[in-house]
Amino acid sequence: MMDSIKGKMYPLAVFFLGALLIGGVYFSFFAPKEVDMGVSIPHTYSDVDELKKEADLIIEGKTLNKRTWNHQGVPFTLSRVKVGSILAGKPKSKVIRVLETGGMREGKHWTVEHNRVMEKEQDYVLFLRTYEGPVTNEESYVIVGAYQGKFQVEGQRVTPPAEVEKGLAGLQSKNQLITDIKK
Amino acid sequence: MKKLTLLLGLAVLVFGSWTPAFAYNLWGYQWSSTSISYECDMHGDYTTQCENGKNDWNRSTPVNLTYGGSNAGITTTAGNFGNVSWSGLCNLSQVSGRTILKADIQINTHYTDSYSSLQRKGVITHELGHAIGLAHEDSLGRGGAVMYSNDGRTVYSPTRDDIAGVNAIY
Repeated sequence: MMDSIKGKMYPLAVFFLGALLIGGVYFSFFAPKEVDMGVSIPHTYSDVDELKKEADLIIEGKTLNKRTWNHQGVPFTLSRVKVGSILAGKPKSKVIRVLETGGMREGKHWTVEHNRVMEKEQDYVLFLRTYEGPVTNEESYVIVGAYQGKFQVEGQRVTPPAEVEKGLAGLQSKNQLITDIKK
Repeated sequence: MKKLTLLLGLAVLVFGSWTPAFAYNLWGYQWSSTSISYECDMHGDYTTQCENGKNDWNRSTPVNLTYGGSNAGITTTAGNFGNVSWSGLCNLSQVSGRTILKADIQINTHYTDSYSSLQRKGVITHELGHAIGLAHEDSLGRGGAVMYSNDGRTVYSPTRDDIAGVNAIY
């Protein structure tokens, strides 16, 4: 009996340890590393109300695709976002462009306050302002507060950005976020 | 006499073991030496404030930022990036493990052109702090650290907390 259990446990243990080893090697040597950029921001937003006041447009949408390039040594990503629902303002078209600082370059995730740029095929609630500047000639928006006005949506739950004030960090329900926006 | 001795003993215990509570946060990266080359590749008041910021770090910490020209370890430049919601950005463009080999600082004139000289200095000194190895420190409030994360900071030179952070690294 004991021999039979030992016989079954051995391959399981080898499989488990092997999986751990492969995972460890992948994350140590092959998985894209995150490099955070240290920024100074003009304003920290304390709640949805403050974000709302600063936004030209608030939408829920899905990222279709994105491209990243360097402008004067800084990585920027331009994502095409399909507008799902309009929560405030009037978008310029059904698919809009959103410019973010950071992105995937040279096998590394360049982040701002540990916030990665938007993922492809992912839903977000976005607080947006019309972009004014030389980084892209394409008509586009930027996220209010760089990363502060970007909430990842998974069903009825939202994930607030990293390193935001308590009034934003505590938001987890999409219904609550939309109620706050429409208040 | 016994009471006095007891009181003195307690005072020594309380104040002798007291160390100030610092709140600094470290970025997790550092230079291999305290002697780091820099260049302020800017113009007008931006150059002045960059030099002022550099002098502040040199005066108050073991770090010695020395002019290194175009091949410097830390390069600070100013340009217009538009309304991207950052006024300064430090990019560790070359690292080896946890050792910084090159840091590029960009100052976004879209915002800083309308700032006072002191506020500009605050942004540049803050970014130099990142380039040296410090992370943000917000728990002490606007006046607690030059590493306060937003431009509402009311200090424009390294504070005791910032200095303690650099001392902890080097």
